[in-house]
Amino acid sequence: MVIILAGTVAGAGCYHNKDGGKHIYTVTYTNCKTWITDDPVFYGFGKVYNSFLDLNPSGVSSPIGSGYLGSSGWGGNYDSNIIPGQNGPITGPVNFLQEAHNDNCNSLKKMILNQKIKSKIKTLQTLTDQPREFGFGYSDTADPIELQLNQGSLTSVKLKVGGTYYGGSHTHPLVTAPMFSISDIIGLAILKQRYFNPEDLTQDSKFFFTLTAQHKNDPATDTFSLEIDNYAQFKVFLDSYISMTDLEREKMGLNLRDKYSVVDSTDPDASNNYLLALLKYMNSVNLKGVSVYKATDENLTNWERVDYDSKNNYVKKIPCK
Amino acid sequence: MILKIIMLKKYPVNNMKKYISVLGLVLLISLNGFSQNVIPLYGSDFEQIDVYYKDTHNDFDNYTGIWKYTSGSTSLTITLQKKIQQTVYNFDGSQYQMDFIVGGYKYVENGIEKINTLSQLSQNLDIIQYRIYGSSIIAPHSIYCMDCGPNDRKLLLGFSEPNRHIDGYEPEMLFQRADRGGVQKLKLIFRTTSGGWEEEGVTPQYTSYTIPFGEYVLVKQ
Repeated sequence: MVIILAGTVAGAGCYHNKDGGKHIYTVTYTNCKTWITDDPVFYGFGKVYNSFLDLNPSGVSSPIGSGYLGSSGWGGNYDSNIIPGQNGPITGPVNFLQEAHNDNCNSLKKMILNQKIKSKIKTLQTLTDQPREFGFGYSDTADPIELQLNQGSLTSVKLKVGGTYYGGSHTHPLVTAPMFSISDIIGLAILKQRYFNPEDLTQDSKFFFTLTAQHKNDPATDTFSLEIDNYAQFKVFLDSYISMTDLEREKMGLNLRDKYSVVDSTDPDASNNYLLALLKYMNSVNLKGVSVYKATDENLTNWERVDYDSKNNYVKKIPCK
Repeated sequence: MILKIIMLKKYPVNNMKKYISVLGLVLLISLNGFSQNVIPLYGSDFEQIDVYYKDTHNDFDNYTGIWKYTSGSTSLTITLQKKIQQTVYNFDGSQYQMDFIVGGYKYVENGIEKINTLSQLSQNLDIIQYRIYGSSIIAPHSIYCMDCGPNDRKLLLGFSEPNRHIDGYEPEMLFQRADRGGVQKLKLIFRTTSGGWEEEGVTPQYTSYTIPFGEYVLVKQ
């Protein structure tokens, strides 16, 4: 009998005991990476484990990046970290939760106020029925640049990273899933990681990667944006991903594509179902620190955050105000 | 051992065969009571645990075998095999079982063999170690089957190449039966659905695989 892992992060990375969660700014993990952060959003203190399987099954422990950093960490299971006035009781450090959401909403508004960026995304809206992928990259120091196709491939463009590049937009053609891939998400982390501009002490929310796509028999397009809530958490996943074998990374992408492949693209609710597949998958592999936002109108003026409600198995929407 | 001694004392040898047969039947019935719930692989979203996602419609059988694309002195040979009831562990430690297709390939370009992973198929490996593997039987209405008729199926499999991982790429092989004139054929789309990233001043070691992306029509050998 051959044994394989469906959750590709299993066994990789570092884990800690959530008991005794306190504000700390430096964390060192035995046999893992040393992670130093001055991010006050990060909580967590306690015994460190090297394997998910070493954790106490009673639930007092939680993998780093699982979204439960301390008893009230940001970026995790939004069932218990709910934005006030939206969906229920307040159980978390609401200021941090609300702050990240506000930052992301402001960043999206700012993005659309930038006419150069907006015009590129509007252009992409007209190209979603084409058999190839299109995209643009955005930097602090130059006009938007068109992303190039990969050699011999019509279904993938290369995201520009490094220097002052801080954002990107792209389409997925009709022959591929109209939702982010794992590599798209990792691409956002790489964008943030490689960014360098000494004149801009930037916030996490500056970075984005949008996707514009349409569904079968529906000329209307959807535009989504990946936004960073908490780079420290996001980086935990990135480090875990980087530490995987090549085969594990490739498997991770395939697992998500398998989920997309069973979505009925003719279903009137297909857009929501693709989102649900993505958010459930992100939840299942503890991919935290990053959120998905969706434009609620084709003019891209209004956005909402989309979260996975695991208790009720649906996509929870939190509008930007 | 004790049971055996008692049985030898109590029963004559002629009755032993009958006893063992009855015991075997009881055992079989008991095991059947504990068998896993079988769910058809086709159309599943793999969200249940402690079940067996089985290729109940034998869709995989349409793809297994040796297939070959030829164009002059360039050829691509792909062999696909079925692996049944493999155990898959979720991140939380829960598990299920599932049937898979695994494969290997040989690519010859202008008469020169560029890569050959076919020998892997004689080994018993973890599923992800096979250079082609997967289990997704694609149905009409899936984004991967926009051109499908109501009874058509496709097969979505992952691809990898030894010593050539390209960051950000998500290579896949999409197979569809395309028989013509009594000849068993397989249409293959080899592509990546994600393009990774590029950084100014950094030259990636690889930007493509040994097998070129594209469409191929392979003939059953």
